[in-house]
Amino acid sequence: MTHEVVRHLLDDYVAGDLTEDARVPVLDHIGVCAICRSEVDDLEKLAVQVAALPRAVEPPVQAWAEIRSVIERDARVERTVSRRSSSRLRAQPYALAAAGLLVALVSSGGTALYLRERAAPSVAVAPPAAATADPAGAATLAAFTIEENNYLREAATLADVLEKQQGVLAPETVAQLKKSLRIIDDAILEARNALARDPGNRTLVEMLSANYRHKVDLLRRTTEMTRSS
Amino acid sequence: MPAKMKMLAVAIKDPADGPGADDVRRAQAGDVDSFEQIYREHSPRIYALCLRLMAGDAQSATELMQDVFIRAWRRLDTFRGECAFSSWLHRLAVNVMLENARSDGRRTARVLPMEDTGKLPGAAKSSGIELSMDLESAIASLPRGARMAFVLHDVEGYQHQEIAGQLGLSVGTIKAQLHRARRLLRERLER
Amino acid sequence: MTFAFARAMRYALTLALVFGASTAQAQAKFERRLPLAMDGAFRVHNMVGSVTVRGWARDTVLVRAKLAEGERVHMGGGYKGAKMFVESDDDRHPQPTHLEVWVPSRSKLWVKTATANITVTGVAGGLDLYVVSGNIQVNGSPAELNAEAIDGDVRVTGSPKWLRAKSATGSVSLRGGSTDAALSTVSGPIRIEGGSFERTRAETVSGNITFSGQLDRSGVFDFDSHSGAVDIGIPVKSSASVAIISISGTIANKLTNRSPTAGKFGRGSELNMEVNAGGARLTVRTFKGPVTLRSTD
Repeated sequence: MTHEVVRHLLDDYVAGDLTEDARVPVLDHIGVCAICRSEVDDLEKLAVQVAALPRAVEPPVQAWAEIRSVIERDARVERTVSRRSSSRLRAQPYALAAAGLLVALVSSGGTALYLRERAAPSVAVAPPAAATADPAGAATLAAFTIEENNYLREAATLADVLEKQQGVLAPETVAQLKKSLRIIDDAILEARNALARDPGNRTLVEMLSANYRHKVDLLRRTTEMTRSS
Repeated sequence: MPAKMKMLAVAIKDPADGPGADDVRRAQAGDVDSFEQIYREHSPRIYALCLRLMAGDAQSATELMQDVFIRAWRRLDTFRGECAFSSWLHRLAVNVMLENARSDGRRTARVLPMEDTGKLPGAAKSSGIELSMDLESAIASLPRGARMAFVLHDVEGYQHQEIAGQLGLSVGTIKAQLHRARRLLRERLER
Repeated sequence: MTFAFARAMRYALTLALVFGASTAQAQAKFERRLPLAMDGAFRVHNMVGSVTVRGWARDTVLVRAKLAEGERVHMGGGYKGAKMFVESDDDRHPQPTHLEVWVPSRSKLWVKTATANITVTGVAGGLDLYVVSGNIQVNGSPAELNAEAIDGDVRVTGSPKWLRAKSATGSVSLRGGSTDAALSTVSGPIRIEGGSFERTRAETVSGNITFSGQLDRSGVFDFDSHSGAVDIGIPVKSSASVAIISISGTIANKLTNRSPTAGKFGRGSELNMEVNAGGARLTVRTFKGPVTLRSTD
């Protein structure tokens, strides 16, 4: 085996990854080549140093408390979403088509969840009959509700964190932040009302997703900026 | 002839049954205190991995580690015991790191290789790594691709195929990155 | 000299000495250099005041500042990476510190402030700039630029290859071109003008979007607004596949003779057309914001 070939095999040789057929000629070459022998020595020294690296490092003491508070917030949000969904179900004892029910759940439960500080808006809910006439629309909306619940959960979690950190922000900035969140919430409400009337409209779903992304992104950015301030 | 050295990390014992497995089952049922036990047992390994993946940036490593455990909590029901829990958690850590790097197009290449930051007066955080500052700093200074391949293979003991699968690259590319990492480390440690 | 006058003079002199000493303390000068590789990384933390950064052709970081009383600068690090931060005796009420920083022109720079303005000129490596309510101004063409504000403005003059710029209520503007640009606001205006673009995304909720530039033939351009107006200006010889939709807003086409059609269910408008046999993909979506497509010639 030539030097040119062997030098590309030295890493595998030191790591023990060569088959016996390849290992023997490499070993023979190392015996007569000072350059490759020196390289093997260096790789083995590096391996010894790496083996001595600590495999575990204690994380900062406060790390668990922050994880725990997120987990507990998740649990609170889940309970709230599930409570609002059940109360809506109880209010409509008559049989509803699956799509119509989804529209009702999304429009009332989801809206009230994130618009905490406002009076419950009058939300236009598409009558069940209109929704069941459009199975494709029902499928689109059904897929979106999963995504929407994720957004709602994430926004609620971040909003909680931000509430605790508000003291770090100047009052003018807090006012601007609240103004921005109101603008986004208004846009979400408009888009959701429109989607309730036109549940198969993919463009509306994408627009609504975009508005949710704005909200989550704004909350996340502000939380990150204030966390390390 | 010098003996070959296998650069493998020491595997953490993770019995199929026993107190660790009980905690996992209880946590899957929603017991946060059991999840805290899981955190206490596994977080030092995960934090060390995060620290090296994030080039020694303690703050980013802490955030990454927290993200890993939050995701682990949310996805606990997807752990079916086909592998050791620590392996599942490790893979999650690498996936989370890759996702964070991809999100919004930002790359962790902008994570800064810091040297001697623990010595800055008033510095609130320290890396917690007390041994081998030279080697740790050298690993932190590697280019991102080389650093990831090196940490996962040489430090954590993943096989080439596993790393290639997780990073979405070919085995050849992983090997090339490893070769590059070792060469750069040897150069930097010689200085 | 009368006794009263002498007493008044002594009083005035005492005041001057006290005030002068305080002023000298409040304006303590700081200057320090650190070696940093031409492609090294430097991190700056300064909550209040300003940060002005210039790129230069030396493998050195130079920091100058005038420090108010109770403020201190800490710096340290190695040749590949270093950082500095301003520390205050009173974290709740830090005094403004105005930093002037020179960094190697190819370095990677990370700056975070709360209410301090950030200005960066001539740094071609990577830039990560974060401000809560200050403004960000970048002059030059860094390889990568990520600039985020909450209620401050972000202004970029130059052609960063990769750009992400965000503000909530502030404006975001790019004067120059980019290979991959994404600009976002909640209510602030977005302005993009004067260059050549390959991938561009601008999204807002209620701000206005104004785009005026050249479209790369194989480029992708997305403009999304809920209620803000969108104004797109492109050369009349542009080759583009255009898709514009507004749920309840209006569309004005001043580029070609094609008229928008009524939207679905008779509400809103749509405009789909190939300009000069198509090429770049241009998509505009608004919920109710008006859209105008025009020529820049």
